[in-house]
Amino acid sequence: MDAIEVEGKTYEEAVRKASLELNAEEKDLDIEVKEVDTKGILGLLGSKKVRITARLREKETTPEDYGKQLLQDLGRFAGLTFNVKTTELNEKTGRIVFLIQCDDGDVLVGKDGETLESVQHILRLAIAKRYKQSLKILVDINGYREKRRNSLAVMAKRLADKAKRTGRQIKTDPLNPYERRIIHTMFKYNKNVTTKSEGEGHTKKVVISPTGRARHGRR
Amino acid sequence: MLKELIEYIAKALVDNPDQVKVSEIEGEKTSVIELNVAKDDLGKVIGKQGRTARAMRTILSATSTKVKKRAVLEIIE
Repeated sequence: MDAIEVEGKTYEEAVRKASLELNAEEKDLDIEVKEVDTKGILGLLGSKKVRITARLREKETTPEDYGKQLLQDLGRFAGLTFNVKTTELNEKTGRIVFLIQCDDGDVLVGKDGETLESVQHILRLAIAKRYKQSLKILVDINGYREKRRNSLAVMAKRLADKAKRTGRQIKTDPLNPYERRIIHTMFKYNKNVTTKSEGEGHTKKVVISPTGRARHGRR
Repeated sequence: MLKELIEYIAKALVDNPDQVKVSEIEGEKTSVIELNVAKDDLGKVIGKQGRTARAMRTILSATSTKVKKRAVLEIIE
């Protein structure tokens, strides 16, 4: 959008003219003062002029739109085209969810969701960088998150039964924080087992231990 | 294409996008992608415990499988 140049006797008048001419509200304009001319004796008499340039401020891209664009761009590098739907920032969870629908989605998921986690990590940083605030985001592809949650729940249930039955601690495979939280939450109120995370960095596992009551002497 | 991918990601993360330089050294099977950023931005592309660098490498290798080529990422200090 090109800038227009307008003059007025006062700054306010110039801005008002500009907003009429551009058919926009004053708050949507970027205004630059070019010249303040106070001709006339001591500025009391004669013509006083304020010349400004005004242009419509470009619409701010929302984090949702920016994220969508970034995901689609990343896909394009891998030769993938896909649709991204976003939910708006959920006030309660403070989270934006990006849902990708893609024919060839496996490449974006990776082994145990590793690629998906990486994409999500980069997206979160890029949004934090651009909007100078840290937003919680979740990226999902072809319903992978729910499938993964279900299979994690089945696996954790099996391990917990085994821990209870044998009275021994059982460890899961390495899981990311999001996945570990799913398991911790699952057994939060379970009387038979307790859970804790063990290990360092991205290779942390969840240890499922039988509680005293369920333990049968053997360690 | 792989070079552009890294350039795209790096530019989205750093404070000085104009100082992001990426070069690709093509080998027979494997390409080496070298990423140069401003000194102040090194931490941004590496991340806590190398998490961001690892994420870039993961995305790079996923993409390179798709274009049937291997690539490794080197971050130049």
